[in-house]
Amino acid sequence: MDRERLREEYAAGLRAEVGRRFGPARVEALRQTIEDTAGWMAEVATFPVDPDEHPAFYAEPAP
Amino acid sequence: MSLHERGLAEAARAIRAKELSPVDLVEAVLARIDTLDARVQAWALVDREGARAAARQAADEATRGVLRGPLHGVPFGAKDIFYSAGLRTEGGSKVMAGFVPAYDATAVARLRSAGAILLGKCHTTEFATYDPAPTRNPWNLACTPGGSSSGSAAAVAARMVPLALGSQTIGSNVRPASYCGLVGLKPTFGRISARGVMALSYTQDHVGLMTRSVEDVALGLGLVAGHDPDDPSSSRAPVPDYLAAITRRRAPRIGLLREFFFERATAEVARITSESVDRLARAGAMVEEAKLPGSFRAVHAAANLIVRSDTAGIHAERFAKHADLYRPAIRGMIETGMLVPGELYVRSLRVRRQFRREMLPLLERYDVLLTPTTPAPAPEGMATGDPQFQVPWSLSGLPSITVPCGLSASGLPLGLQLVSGMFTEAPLLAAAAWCEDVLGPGPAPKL
Repeated sequence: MDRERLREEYAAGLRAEVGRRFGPARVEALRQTIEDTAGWMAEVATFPVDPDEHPAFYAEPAP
Repeated sequence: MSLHERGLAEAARAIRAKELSPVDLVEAVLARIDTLDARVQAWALVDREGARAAARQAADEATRGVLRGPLHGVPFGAKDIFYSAGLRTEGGSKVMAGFVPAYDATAVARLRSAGAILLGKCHTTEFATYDPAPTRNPWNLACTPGGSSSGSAAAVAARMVPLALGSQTIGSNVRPASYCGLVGLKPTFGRISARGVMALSYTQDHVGLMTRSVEDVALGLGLVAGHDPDDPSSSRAPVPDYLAAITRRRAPRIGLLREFFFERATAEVARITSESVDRLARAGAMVEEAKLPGSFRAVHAAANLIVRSDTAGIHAERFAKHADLYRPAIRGMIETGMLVPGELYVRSLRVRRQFRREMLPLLERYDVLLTPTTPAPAPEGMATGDPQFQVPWSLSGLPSITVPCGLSASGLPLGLQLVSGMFTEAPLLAAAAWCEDVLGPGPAPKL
């Protein structure tokens, strides 16, 4: 799926969930934050991360 | 030179040589605060009584030849997210109103063990995020000092204290240091314990230092760095002698990151950065243009998702009880952070590791990578400015430092940001000290 379409889907999902959990007034208050977050979600979701790459919580390699 | 203008190493040397009394030094900086802080608003709390008592004791000990450590009798400030035993610590938030910790953050405790005197707590944005502190930039009171370590930067720049502790999760130590004309260091993740520092992100919170010279930041780092068994992210890597490292300064190999950083900078910032780089090259630095890896594309998105998810997790219980006490920016971070899918959180962590791995060839080829520290000088108003040039290094945990490189046409400080490999603070500081020699120390604001 292309990034822009995915971003729109994430934004719609976030608006619905913000409304359900925090009330409709928060959807409007968070309009820009929701757009930003949806953009970051789409960017990470579509970035071709190396399949062998593990998550790293800490910077230092194990001793 | 007035007493309040003395730097960290200089003041410590004078006290050791019995040329300066800790009482006189503390009185000088308290007088400076009394004169200026109604306008600058750097301090959330000044512990006059405690600082004076500590100074009297330090003076008495120095007279008897007893020195507690390398910073005996020298005052410092700490961002108000650092726990300080018996002193109110509110993190810039109504949620923490009246909170008094029972113990010192490890970084505070280590500076006190070195003989330093905690003068007070410096204003922070709410929980070190984006809701601004009241602090103003000493170079122009209409401008922000940056954030989130707003008070720390303003206090050091205004010569109210020679050292302040800050923190950086996104861009909160290096950016305000640059906006205020300081040297600001964000060391490698895990290099300085974050125990007793109000958390924002488990994997991006860094303790940082702000001073007015590279020597001072090297001195401070050597005293606060090192393993802390009470911080699970604290590194066991040995702590080098950073002061010795900066005596071995030499012209560095510099990888210049034009891509992204120069494209996002104002024309003025790009020009002044280029002129500074030319001066470094003429003085002997080897300068090449370096190319960012492909994973750079996703680092800002990954960093923001990680921080928002962590912040939501850290604040979940308090937020459930006190949502209305949170200011708008952090409230929005928590509410949206709660909704980031776990799958994308894990993917963001994988992006981080891939970025760190893909940066290795660059970090091996050059002593330091160089960028402008900020896209523009400190903006007017309350908003704390743009952290995007710090984000890649906060995400990856790579150490970074800013050194002053000049003033904008509007008279505001600009900086060069240097970045190096994991746990290479010693050569990073040596390169920064060399650059400081070439470019000259940052000037003082006229207050």
